[in-house]
Amino acid sequence: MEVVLPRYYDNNNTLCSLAAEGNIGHLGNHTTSTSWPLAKLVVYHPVSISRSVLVNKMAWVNALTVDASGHVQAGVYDEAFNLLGSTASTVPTPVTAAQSVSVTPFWLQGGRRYYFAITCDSLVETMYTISGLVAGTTAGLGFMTETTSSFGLGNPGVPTLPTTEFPTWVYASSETAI
Amino acid sequence: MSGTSYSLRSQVPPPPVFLASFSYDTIGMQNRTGGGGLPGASAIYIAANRAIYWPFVIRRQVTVYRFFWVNGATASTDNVQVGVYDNNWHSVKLGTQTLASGPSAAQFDNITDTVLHPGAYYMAIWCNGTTTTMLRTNPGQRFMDGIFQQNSQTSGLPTTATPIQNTNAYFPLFGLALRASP
Repeated sequence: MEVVLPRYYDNNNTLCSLAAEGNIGHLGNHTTSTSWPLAKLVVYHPVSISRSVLVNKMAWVNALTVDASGHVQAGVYDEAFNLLGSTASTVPTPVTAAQSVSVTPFWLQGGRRYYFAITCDSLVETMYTISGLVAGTTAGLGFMTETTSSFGLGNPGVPTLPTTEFPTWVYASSETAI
Repeated sequence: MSGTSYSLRSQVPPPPVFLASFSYDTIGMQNRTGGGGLPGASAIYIAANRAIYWPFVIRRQVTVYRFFWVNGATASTDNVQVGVYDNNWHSVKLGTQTLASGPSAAQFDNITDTVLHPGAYYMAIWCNGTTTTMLRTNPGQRFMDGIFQQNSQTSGLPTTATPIQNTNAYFPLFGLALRASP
């Protein structure tokens, strides 16, 4: 019997934007509730995975304030910035909690790179981010951002180097119970 | 061997799209656990004409399109160079010595596309002055075993390195971009 274990950072069925790749996972616990920095900003988090995962749900983490009139959308792009799957535009709730949304199931293939993306149209909405990052930090870790003219994840995405430092939690999971 | 077979087959994952000094594929976790985790800070380069070498491993073939580093608050009259060495300290690819430009931002050196085969390597950075600042963390030097340095390299990164053990707690963010743009 041969058992091949996955690498440490994707050894479960829920992949995280700040841990799946390992590139930024060692940032630690500098977590702060922070207002979304720019309306309609899309933040792209680079992720590498070692085994295939069927994504059934995606999630993010609301912080101390949610905006009942705001909207959030999360999705996954391939390396060519084609949108593979995403949540619908969703009103964030509740505070200080992960919020998961079912998606039309889609596969992420093992041994490939992806970008976990999230966007929001409200400057009132807060999420947990890594506080105090020096400008340029996430650029040096492969992150990107995009400011869209209308709310939502575009297909394809057209990102540039980050214009702001806002790494946050985006989950993609094969589980249906998260 | 008979019996039920359980398999959780993994692919060899590609390295991060920006294979950086902070990555797990280098010794980024040492940086973190050694007290050097982000957020970092802008600080002058550790010593003029010093080359610093970071070990890293890749498990599948990659193409390097660019080298990069992250300037701190002052990008200045100093030149910066990034390169890659094999496990025997022979240079695989040396970037161009480039004037540090653009504070608090990533700066790129677009190189000839360079294929790296699976194996152990070192990524290296060099700067010819101490006016330029870089984004860096500062884990205790005792937590930086595996990093090497080479002093007084007035001509830039050498073709063949002859390094000594690192002596300083200076952990800049730099590395290899496996994405052509942006």
